[in-house]
Amino acid sequence: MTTLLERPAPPALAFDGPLRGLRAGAVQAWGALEALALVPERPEPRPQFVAPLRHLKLAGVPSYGTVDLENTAERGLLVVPMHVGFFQEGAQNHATARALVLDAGEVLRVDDAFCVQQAQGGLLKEAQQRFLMLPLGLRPAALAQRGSRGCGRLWEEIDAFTRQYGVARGGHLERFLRPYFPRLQPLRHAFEALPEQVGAAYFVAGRLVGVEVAPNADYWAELAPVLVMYGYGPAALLAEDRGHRAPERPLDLEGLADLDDLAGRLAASRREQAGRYAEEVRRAQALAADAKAEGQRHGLDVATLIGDDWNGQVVSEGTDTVYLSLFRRFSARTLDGPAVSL
Amino acid sequence: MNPQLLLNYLDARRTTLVRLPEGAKLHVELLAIAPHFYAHIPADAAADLSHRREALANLLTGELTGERPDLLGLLRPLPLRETLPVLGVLAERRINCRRARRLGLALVLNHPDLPELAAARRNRLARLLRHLLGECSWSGVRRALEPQTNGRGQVFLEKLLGRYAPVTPAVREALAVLTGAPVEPTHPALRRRLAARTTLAEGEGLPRETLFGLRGVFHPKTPASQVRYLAAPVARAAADGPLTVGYKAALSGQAPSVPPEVLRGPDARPALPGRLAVVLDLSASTASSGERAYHPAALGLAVARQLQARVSDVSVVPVGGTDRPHGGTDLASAVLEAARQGPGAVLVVTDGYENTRPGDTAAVVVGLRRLGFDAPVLQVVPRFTPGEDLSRRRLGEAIPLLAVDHEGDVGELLARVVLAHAGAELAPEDLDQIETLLFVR
Repeated sequence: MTTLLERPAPPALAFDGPLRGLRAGAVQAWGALEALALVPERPEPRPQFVAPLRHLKLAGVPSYGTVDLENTAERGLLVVPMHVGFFQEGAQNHATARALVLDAGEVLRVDDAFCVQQAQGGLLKEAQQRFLMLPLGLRPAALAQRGSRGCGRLWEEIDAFTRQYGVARGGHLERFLRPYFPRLQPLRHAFEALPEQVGAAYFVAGRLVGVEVAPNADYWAELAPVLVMYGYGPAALLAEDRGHRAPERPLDLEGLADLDDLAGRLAASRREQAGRYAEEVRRAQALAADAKAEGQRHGLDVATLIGDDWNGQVVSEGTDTVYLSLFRRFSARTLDGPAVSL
Repeated sequence: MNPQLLLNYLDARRTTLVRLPEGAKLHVELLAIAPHFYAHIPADAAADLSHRREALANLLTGELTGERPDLLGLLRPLPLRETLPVLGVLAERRINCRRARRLGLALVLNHPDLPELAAARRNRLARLLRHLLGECSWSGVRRALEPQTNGRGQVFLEKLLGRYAPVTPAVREALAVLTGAPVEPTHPALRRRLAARTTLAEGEGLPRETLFGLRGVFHPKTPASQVRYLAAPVARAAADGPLTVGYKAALSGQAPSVPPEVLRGPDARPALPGRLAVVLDLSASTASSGERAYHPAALGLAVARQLQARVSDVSVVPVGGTDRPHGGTDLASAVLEAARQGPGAVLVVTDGYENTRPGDTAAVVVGLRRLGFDAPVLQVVPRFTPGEDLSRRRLGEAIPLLAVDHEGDVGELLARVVLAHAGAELAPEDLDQIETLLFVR
């Protein structure tokens, strides 16, 4: 039996800049959301970085807006992804504002977190729990407010965000997540981590909206379902509800000669799409050069990009990108207006 | 006969008749054109109860040409718990012709499950028997079971019922409980039921609805929670087959591998001739999560294994992983690879999350048709519950979708393949084969 993995890979579509060492892989799609896989040209296990779901623990919440995060690994650095959220029943849910780096066993107090459940009292309890991620529509505002304090400083943005979905007002993110969960959950199954994949570029209704890179494939396998369900899924649902779809690319079947011809046309169509999307990613990642260094932790540099359209952070070790999250401002108006060219 | 008629039945049989505007017409046509096929429907475990009841009513009251099918022989091997709701149509539609009476009484009174059912489904069973015998005879049965009849009662019972079944002590006990005649039964289930009238706890292990019925009449102050505690555990409607259980255990790490005796045992029947290609989706999504963990992958693997056991030449083209869920879902390339092998049919066993890319499989199938590949391509979705919405997981309008809930459903898959190959007219030997595939348990 021949497996897919044994088929020849498409020609390399390599990147440079912060995505150096990566190439474009297959495009996966579901509804209005598409993801271009980013895979290393030479797979590296990078065991010095541990995966977040297994090793990130909410050690405590001493006060509203402050969270203690722990890396439970005995060895290995943990890059805490940007904008992770912790939800528990009967307690004020919290989310972080930026990427963080924790050494093995380290407990880090983070005092610029957000409360994302305006009218709920009670502090989160210590837990080794799954985390969520702030939706794309909230991430630029969350990043812009990193380093500042105040539990409720994201409530206004949450209110505006949830109103786009016809959800009741207030700084309550859970009021969006609960009714939309049945539509978000299938995305977790619809987008699958490929062998060696360490990142993806996300497109909503054909527009590039985010580029995400993880330290290694294990890390990505844990992060990807969270990103797609909570980070980029809500934007795709908004697009679908407003009648937008991923661009259709019908296969040209005129004058087919034989099965090889059909297989060749299928492969060419996919290659062409991947190539075009890779070109968009290449232009977006060039913006990362404008990111400003914001310090160093455990030998890793953290740089932040704040722009009119693109925002994000890059964690790097020397010239090697360890973690990258670049995302675009996104709202219902983005969809209604003309497509934004880079 | 036109194979489309059977396909229509296969498409309709899981849907209740009231939701099928053409359902009654379909039954009439099937009865007229394929009466022997139709006679299997009252025993068709995959069919909705409404179809089974409609078919039984039509078979007993409709006009049939030629020899009447042996309904008793078809229904007798089934558990009485399963046939009783089907037979219930006789009372509801007041069907009490001689054929109906003979079928109902011979089936119920001869069945080894009669005492169990008399304890657990007393009202339903009593209603059926009262209808079949008539009110006067039913009252006579009760009087004949009184202790002081000095043998006249047994004579009456044998005269009334002896032509359908021997009136054994077990039958007398069950009838006594059903008619309300005084009795001290020896069968444990009947004893439990009668004892539960005095003390509900004595009925421990009876079905929940039976205990709730007893509570309503005899113990209205007993809390519902206690009734639930005493009731027999409710089995999941569609419990997994042995292969699915084995694959789930192996995939989740609870067992090192599927036991060889389970792998060997799918089917002892002779394999069907023909070449079949199975595209087996073992991408990451088939691992699923929560209570459904590994269900799509395990059921998919079990279906593929069953097909390998029942068809002489089966090739499997895995997608994603080869033996466990892994990677993406490029079904289109796999369908192309399957088509290269020149199969008589391609079954795409997938959870339907075609992400590389949605629509590519449908386009490839259109391309294959243009190249003259006319073998049927079917999408088979291993389902956890009939409530799953598969509308967004269809590979394409031109690719028929069939959901499977159990590894035993491969019979229907193969029947559909036979029907797809049949052309405009179905040969009698093909019809026999389809009956075997669909109805032999």
